[in-house]
Amino acid sequence: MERALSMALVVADSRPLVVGALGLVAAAAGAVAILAARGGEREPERPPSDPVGRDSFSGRDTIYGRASSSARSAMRRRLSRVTWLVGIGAGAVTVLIAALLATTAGSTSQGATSSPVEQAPSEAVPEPDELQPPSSLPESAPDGGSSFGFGSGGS
Amino acid sequence: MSAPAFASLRGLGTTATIAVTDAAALSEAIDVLERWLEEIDASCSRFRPDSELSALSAAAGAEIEASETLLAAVEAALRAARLTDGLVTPAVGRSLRLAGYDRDLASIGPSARPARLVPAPGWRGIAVDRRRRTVRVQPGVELDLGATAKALAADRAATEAAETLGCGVLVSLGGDIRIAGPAPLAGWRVDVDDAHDALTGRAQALLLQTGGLATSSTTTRRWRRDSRELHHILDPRTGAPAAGPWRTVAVAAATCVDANTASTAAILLGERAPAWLAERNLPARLVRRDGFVIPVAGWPEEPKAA
Repeated sequence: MERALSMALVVADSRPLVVGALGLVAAAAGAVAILAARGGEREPERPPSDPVGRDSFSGRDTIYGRASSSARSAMRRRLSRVTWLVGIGAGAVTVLIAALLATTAGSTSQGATSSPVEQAPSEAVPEPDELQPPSSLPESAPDGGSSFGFGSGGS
Repeated sequence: MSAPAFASLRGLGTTATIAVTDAAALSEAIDVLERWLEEIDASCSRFRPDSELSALSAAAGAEIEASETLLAAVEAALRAARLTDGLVTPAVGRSLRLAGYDRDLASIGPSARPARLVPAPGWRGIAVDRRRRTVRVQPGVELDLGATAKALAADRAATEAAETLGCGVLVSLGGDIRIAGPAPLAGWRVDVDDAHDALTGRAQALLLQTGGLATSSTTTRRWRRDSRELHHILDPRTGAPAAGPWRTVAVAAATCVDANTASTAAILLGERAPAWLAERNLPARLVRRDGFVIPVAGWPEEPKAA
């Protein structure tokens, strides 16, 4: 029973760590997304044998081919900017939420241990669901034994 | 380790005694006991206008924030109600007040005003929210934590003193006894009688090693209203003082709260009490109105008269 309770308390006390770790994982995921978006922004390298640029679809050296490649590059740049913004925004929001959750969990945990009288966990230790008998039976005291005179009588 | 020592003081309207197996620890043990007496009184007294309980009664159904002590005391009282089918209920405050038990017993004088006997409302109108640390009581319900709060104080004081001082401790609050830590070699000797402070000479001497012992009696805490004499164990179903066959019931249990719950319930259960106690393996001594003693569930037999 006591072991289970102490385990529960350990789990309860480690909430801020768990939430913080989740926040870090989410932030790392956001960073990976940003790097991936950045990778998509790069211009494809032209082979040295194709200094003027070749339409990657037709393979023809045409003015049209050059213009089409340039438009696609512009679109890629716009898309990559949007991806950047979305990635940075998502990362920031994730970190913010993780920080807020960690703060809330931390303050809840502190509240349960703020003063000597209030050291009990927020959930009371459940009392047994039956009246509990004593672990040893009362015994008759020998006659004439020493007594402090403790009396158990109605009060 | 030196010889056992003890000290007595006043608290919770009764005599409080603490005994320790190591006399050197007595002073610190008294500090622990005094702190718990004040703690329980400040939280649970029906007669202190500045107590948390008074604030709860004045809240008229609103939820109030509660100290850990009040939360524990109300929870103990609700558990007692649940385990006794509502016989030992904290909702009996109004019934006690209207019957005339409306101030500290020592200051209740005879009154020509007749007592009003009203049944207690249901205890399920009392709610504890442990997560938010609040208590709420339905309008019209007045709490009396007297039965279980005093026993809780004995439990808490004895266990804390034993843990912090590392010796055996006995705490007695008006005869509600809790033993914690290693007992003296032969055990703690306790005399069980009708009244803890006025032993009649018919007391049974016991040796106890651990746990709680409580005695409920209709012969103590009495007052007079008009021409009627009343006592403090009211039947919540009628609001009248218990009028069953038992004058006094003493019960041994694992804790003082459990012992007190069982001894109070036994007075109210009437003839069903011996079987009820035996089913729960709670050793008990029931004394009929004529003085005949019935031991139950392993309680030692009375010594034969010489």
